Amino acid sequence: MLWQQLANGATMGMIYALITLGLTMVYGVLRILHISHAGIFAFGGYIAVAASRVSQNLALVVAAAMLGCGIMGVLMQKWLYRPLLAESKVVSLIASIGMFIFMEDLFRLMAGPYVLPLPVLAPLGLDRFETAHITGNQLVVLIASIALLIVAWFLINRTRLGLAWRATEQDFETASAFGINIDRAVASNFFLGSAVAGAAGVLVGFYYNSVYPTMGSVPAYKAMAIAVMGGLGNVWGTVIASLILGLVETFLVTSPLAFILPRDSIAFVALILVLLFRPHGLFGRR
Amino acid sequence: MLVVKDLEVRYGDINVIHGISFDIDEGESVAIIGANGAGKTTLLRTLMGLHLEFQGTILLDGEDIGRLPAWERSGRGLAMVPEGRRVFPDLTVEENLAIGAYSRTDRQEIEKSMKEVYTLFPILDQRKRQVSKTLSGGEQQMLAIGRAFMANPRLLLVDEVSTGLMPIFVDKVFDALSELNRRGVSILLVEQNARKSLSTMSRGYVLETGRISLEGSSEELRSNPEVQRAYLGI
Ligand SMILES: Nc1ncnc2c1ncn2[C@@H]1O[C@H](COP(=O)(O)OP(=O)(O)O)[C@@H](O)[C@H]1O
Ligand SMILES: [Mg+2]
Repeated sequence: MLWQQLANGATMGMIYALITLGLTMVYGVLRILHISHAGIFAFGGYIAVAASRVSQNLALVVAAAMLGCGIMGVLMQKWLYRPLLAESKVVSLIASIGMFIFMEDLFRLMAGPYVLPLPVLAPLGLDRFETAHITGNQLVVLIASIALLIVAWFLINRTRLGLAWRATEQDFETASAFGINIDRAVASNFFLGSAVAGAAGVLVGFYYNSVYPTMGSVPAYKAMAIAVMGGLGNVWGTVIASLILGLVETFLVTSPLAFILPRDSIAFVALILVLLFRPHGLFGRR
Repeated sequence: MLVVKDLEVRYGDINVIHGISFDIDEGESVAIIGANGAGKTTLLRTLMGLHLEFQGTILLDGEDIGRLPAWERSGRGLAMVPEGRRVFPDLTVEENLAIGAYSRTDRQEIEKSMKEVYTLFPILDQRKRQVSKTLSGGEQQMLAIGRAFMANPRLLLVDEVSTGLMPIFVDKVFDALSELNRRGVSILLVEQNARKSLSTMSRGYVLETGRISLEGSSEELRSNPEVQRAYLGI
């Protein structure tokens, strides 16, 4: 029972981490709260449903969703955020919320208001590898999300492209004076962040075998809460805050406290506490 | 190598530089001195491509670069030591230097440049894995110069390197600039510190509220009574 709870909590935590990662990357570079990131997450689920008609291989479906969502993110940055960059940040925030609502309705119009199944199989038959402690699906989601986080960490911290992102994030003018094409840095940053969100959308769809128009709603606001808890722009802080949230949620819903504290409220209670007592995040300095 | 003609720069409706012209030859070292607010930083940022509200022409090797984005100017041999150092605070010393070489592709030569920076400023070598916000002001200034050196520039734009530094650091930093110039890098330095810049650079201009009021060799400027009164405190 304890092991199962741990597995449940860790799986949710890693999914939260994937969703939040893109959000905090974008915040780092543009300093905007990218709510429609959660729309891109749901878009990943829908690409997966479409792709699953062609191939049932989870790895291929994830790759398709990452590509589609990455492109979507780049377009959003070019056509939604860039024209608003000179305006106050509130303008981009409102535009982003509007875009998110638009996307949810678009999914509803195009695919119907139903919960769609996502019939995909993990490579190597991993999803049939069950033990008493962990289900095959959980194992798949854990391995995939850890792999994606490691790749993202490596790109950000160990490559020339990642160096350009970090420099652009800290001082875009000086970065451009040293030859960094900041337009391209911002676009590729959006691409990666959105691709990772798309992968998260597929993994969630696979885990619950369901994809539906509003699947991004709760993650939209939870990711915001996690990003603040982990410290905006801090990758490891994000991962740890996500794991804590996933585990706390899982353990609390089976405890007597669940009566007064429904699962989805925990992130917000935590958010309020963090903002009150540690406004720079759990691991933030200053 | 650099020719600036009738340059006017504004911020919105406010004109800050009112039609100045000057030039820098290959291998020259030129100082532009001027009081606080004269427009020195604005001028350098315009040359680098960080400020785009201007009229007039900026020619580099005869080619108009005025509409190129900053990152392409970097590729053509321009680099900058910006006002206030502007090192990337959360990047390590080594990463800051790597950003300096971002436009370059000659891997082995980059390694060599990095060794040279460490020879010039051994303290940076000791601190290479430290994030640069933990460096002292003088060390950050050395890093800012080292970063520009890593770009292997043909023309280096330097903004107020002496501000806020202890005198021994000021000497060290100016020595480093002379050394770069000896190696063939052209330098355009803007400074309030007229004494130090006119003794290190070979030619100078005086910028007064957006207009060039005087120009000449450094000796001429140093012996000019107006310069002595207004900038050298003699
Ligand atoms: N971002 C800005 N917006 C409006 N005016 C500015 C801005 N930056 C500088 N100025 C004005 O331009 C003039 C020149 O400033 P600056 O180039 O910083 O001078 P210096 O570097 O010689 O001290 C000053 O009057 C300053 O107030
Ligand atoms: Mg200045």
